[in-house]
Amino acid sequence: MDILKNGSEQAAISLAPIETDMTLQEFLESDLEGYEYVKGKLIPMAPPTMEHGEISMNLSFLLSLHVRENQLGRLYPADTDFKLGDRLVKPDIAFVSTARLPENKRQASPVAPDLAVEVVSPSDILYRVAEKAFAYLDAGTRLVWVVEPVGETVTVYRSKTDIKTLTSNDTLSGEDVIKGFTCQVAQLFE
Amino acid sequence: MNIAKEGHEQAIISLAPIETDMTLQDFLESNMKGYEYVKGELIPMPAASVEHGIISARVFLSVGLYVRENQLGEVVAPDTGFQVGERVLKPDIAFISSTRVPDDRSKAFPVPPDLAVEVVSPSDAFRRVVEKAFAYLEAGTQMVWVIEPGSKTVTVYRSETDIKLLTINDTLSGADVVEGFSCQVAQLFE
Repeated sequence: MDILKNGSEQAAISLAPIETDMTLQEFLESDLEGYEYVKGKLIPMAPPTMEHGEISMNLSFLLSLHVRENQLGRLYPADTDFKLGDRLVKPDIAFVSTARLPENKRQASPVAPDLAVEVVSPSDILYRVAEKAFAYLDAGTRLVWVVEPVGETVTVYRSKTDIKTLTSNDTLSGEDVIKGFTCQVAQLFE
Repeated sequence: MNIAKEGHEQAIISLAPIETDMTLQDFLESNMKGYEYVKGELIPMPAASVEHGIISARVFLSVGLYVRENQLGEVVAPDTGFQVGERVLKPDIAFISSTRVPDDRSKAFPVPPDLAVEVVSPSDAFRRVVEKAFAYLEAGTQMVWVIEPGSKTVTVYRSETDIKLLTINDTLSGADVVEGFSCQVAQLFE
């Protein structure tokens, strides 16, 4: 009886955070791709899976119909950089309301998004996801949605003590951040 | 400017699941410590941090005392194995009601606990935590508490669509599983 088969460790290695001497500014000016930057660490981003893509697209589609029709602001897809204090993050979907849009758009966003959406990847660490949600709130984001595909849930963060988990029977609302927007949680996972 | 400092990958590597030819039965009869077993994989259990130890002990003490005083059943310490469907899981704390405690106490529990409590470690993948909670529910566990020290939250799973997230302003209740038990969520993290 073999206890060990080979090869299953490989996947995890590449996703460990990497300590770096780069400053936030150096990171912004570099052309490194596939990382977020958190206080002296490069955080490798999980490779996008089909599931991840489908959920992001479902939600982007619903959000963009509503945001465009009502001219509420702008939506940004994954890989758009946002500065959050001493971090640089790339939310899977972000919304910035019209009033808060910066003039110079040829740079990473200097303002935190009003809504940040993170779709959890198979290798994402629970601790880091919750920590990132709090970092958004600290930087001024008013609404964070963490979409978790295995449980088909959305966890809605408004503050550090106002956090709710919605399941497939519930309705997701844009509240006062994307006014008038609602969809069924189940629609994200269809 | 160095991009990578050395040594950081080590911790993660050792926590990757290990494929094995052992069957569930082989695993139950082996004397392997420090692993859970999930369908042909050995899942290494992360070393407990100070935070993890303190929070686990608080839950263990408060639930344990209550259960003993009211003679509701048994509360077991970490490292106790439970057969949960095709898995052998070792919850951080578990409660099993008097009527379900097996006669043969010399082996792992052949049945899942009534209440399973998992304290999230810094290396736990989000997906695995949810999968584990659902595996307990599927096997007959009535309630799962997932305690997340970073954000000071407890997620209470009763079914795949009955999931509630509690913050430090809320009260954690034993509901109909540990009847009459309650404590403030804040007490776990103080």
